Amino acid sequence: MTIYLKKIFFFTLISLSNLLLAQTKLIGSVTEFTNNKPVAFALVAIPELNIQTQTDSLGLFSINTIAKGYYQLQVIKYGYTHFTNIIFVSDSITTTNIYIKPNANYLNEVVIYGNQESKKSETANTIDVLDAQTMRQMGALSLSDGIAKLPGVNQLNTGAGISKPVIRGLFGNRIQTVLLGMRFDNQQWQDEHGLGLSDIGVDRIEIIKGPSSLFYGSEAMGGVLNIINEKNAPVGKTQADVSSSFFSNTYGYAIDAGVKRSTQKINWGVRLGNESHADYSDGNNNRILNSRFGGYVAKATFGFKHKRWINENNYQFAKNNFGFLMDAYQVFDTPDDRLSRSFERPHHTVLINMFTTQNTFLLKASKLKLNFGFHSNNRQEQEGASGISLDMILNTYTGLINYTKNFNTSTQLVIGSQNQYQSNLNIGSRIIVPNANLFESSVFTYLKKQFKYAVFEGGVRYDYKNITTLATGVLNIGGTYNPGVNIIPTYKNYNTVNGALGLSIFDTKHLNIKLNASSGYRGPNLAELSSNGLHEGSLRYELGNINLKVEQNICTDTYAEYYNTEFTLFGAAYINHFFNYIYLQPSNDDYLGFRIYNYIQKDATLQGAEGGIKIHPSKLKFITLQSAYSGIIGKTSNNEYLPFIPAQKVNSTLKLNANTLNKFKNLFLTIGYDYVLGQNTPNQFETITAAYSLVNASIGGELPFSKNKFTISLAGNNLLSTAYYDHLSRFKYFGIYNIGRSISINLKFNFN
Amino acid sequence: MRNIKIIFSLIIVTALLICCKKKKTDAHVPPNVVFKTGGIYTSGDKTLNKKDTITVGITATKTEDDLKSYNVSYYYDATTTSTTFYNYVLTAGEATSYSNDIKIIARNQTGTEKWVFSVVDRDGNITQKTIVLTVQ
Repeated sequence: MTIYLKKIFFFTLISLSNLLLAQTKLIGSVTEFTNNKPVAFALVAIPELNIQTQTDSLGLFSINTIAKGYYQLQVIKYGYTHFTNIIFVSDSITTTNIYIKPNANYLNEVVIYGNQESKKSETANTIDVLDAQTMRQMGALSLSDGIAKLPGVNQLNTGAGISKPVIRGLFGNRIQTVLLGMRFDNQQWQDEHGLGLSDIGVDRIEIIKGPSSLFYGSEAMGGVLNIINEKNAPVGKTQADVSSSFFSNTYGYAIDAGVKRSTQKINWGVRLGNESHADYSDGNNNRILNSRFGGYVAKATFGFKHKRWINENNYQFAKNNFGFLMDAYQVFDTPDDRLSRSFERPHHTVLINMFTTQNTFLLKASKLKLNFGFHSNNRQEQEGASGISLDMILNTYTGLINYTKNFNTSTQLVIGSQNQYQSNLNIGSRIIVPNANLFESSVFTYLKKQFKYAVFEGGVRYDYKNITTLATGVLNIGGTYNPGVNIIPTYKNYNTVNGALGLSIFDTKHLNIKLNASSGYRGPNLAELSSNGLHEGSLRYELGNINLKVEQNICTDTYAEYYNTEFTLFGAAYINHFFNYIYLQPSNDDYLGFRIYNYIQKDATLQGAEGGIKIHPSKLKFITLQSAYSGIIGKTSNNEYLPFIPAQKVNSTLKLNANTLNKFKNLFLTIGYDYVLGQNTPNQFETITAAYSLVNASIGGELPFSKNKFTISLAGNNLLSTAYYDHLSRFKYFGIYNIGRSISINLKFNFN
Repeated sequence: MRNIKIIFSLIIVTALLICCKKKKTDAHVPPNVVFKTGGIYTSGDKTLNKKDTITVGITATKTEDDLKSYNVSYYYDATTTSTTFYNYVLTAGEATSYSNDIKIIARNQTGTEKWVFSVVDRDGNITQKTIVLTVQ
């Protein structure tokens, strides 16, 4: 009764004060659905306003908005189903009472699809979410390593540090990475160019599976990797944290620290991080010389709210070094100190400077987003000689205009235009792709209609792309010492139309079915258009084709999920058909004994399935048993298997949770078993890969002290130190195994 | 607010300092290749009779990068298309220094034969040595 009286008093007080001050305010309470008890310290957020707050001990909250309109309101609390809904905030005060259900096993997380946030079940796209904290608790060495345990996601790796994500068998220029709301291009046209991003300052990764060119444009053919940075501090709070991780296998560490603050008007945050890994050891405890990596990260964010304008600016700097082997025998070179982190041997240095500004203008019954970004990417490669050979600067400028009209809480229309200009400049002594200017421009429209038990969404997009290669000189060194090939400047235009159509059906209690058809495209990259020479370190001469057509794909995707209090079942199946799939094909010709490989095009199809079960007995709430399978087949139209198609895998995890134990909170213990089947259908130039299995485990928990929190976790990967090759390891062809046993400890202090 | 500006400035200055540090550039010096001379070896252009046999030897040494492959090709008369006579991928033990002798038998017809001896290092740098044989 006391609680109800306090609630009434709270609402009355707030209402009166706001009438006097004429502010626009959202006030409300968060209550547990089953017993009407208030939910204290739940996170309440309106993401598009960059506003977050917490419920107090009575489950009450208050948010000052800046204008009336439709907003996405989210409530997140550990152990409860996530709440998200579109609400209408009026001119003065809006009150809302939110009921959330206790259920740690069916979160129905909030996901982002093209600047639009929605519940996972309320979009027709298949989107997986993995938070950075979980990745760290699993002992992941990098971002790509962390997401590779999800069904349908793998990593193409060249050692422990160089890896790029593979979504449903596609990677490189066939998936798009979004960072700070902007497309991230890290010269992905080459297999040995890793994604090169760490999880420092990252809140979560969202993986959109399947073509998503409607919102993301070129290269979003296999999916999108959306890297979402940490949230702002709750309004009126200053938060700081220090994290550190230590890795036994690589004698590595990662450390970062950040501080952030939000007020009603402004928010800011800074984060600095450093990580360093020595060479890794395989399952036989053999050191893989020069597989080391490390780097620095700095992030800064600053945002403000002024009348109807919400502004968020982000700057990110990163410098990373990745050692690599160019020949199998280099692993037997004279080793340096076991803990050495020196980069005297062949290595990549990647320097990133990225700035984005995201602006939302709240109009009378709609929103306008104007986002701009600049990304400078400098890639240097020391390829074994006396200095840097390849040195390229890729500058990217992006602009996004997004107009969103909410006709009511269930109908949303988006009209937008996405534009990008890139310039690639060679400043090194080796040129393998020419200097070039690339321009993309698009217009798109998207409609989302929500019914009681279904969501319909769809849209269409037109893209124009221009590639202008410039007179760069001679590819592959040339000049004084070597014969080379002069680059012939070209001017290519590509026009494409893409779209998506989807339906998600849900009954809010047990079922979610998704049906989706979408398309994607990409223009040929500079290597595919212009290569003409020996590829350093390899035994092949690559020949591009200036007449390559645009590559397009259409994917049909179905997803079904059934859940109740005891278990969750899910399954997905897809067929992804490519028109003019570009790939390297060896010819019968040679150059000085090196076989000539041509870039050619053929239609291709990738089809696959993912599925699993999650058992979460209602009478044994501390236990969760999960097992997920994924498999894929990729073939060209003449029935040849595509290269680097992941083997089928089954990931099983037993997780034990305890909300509290003595002074500890949120304790967990996981035991995982990954079984990867043999890949017996390799591409004609690959070899088969044997099956392998890995045993992993992790344990951790939180220790609150005063208003602060200390989190500790211990993870062990490949505990049995199995010596194995993964089919997507490029070191496999050097006879080098993947990483052996790795124990990591992760510590984090949160200060409020 | 002042603190924010200081922190931002420090980050940007640090980033710029790291960015501006320039690394040494690879000069791409190709492998060092010489013909063996004296004794049985032919080391320059030569006129031969039909079906004559000569021996050509090369010694290659690494300059910057490990040696990777050795190729011997020939062009008959004025043709621009070469034919590979001998192709070899060097082993790890031959990455620093490599030596090879081949026997060439002149054609049973008059004309010219251009023999090209190419050594390629791991970086793709190529050194080519040529001998032109005139068959009479």
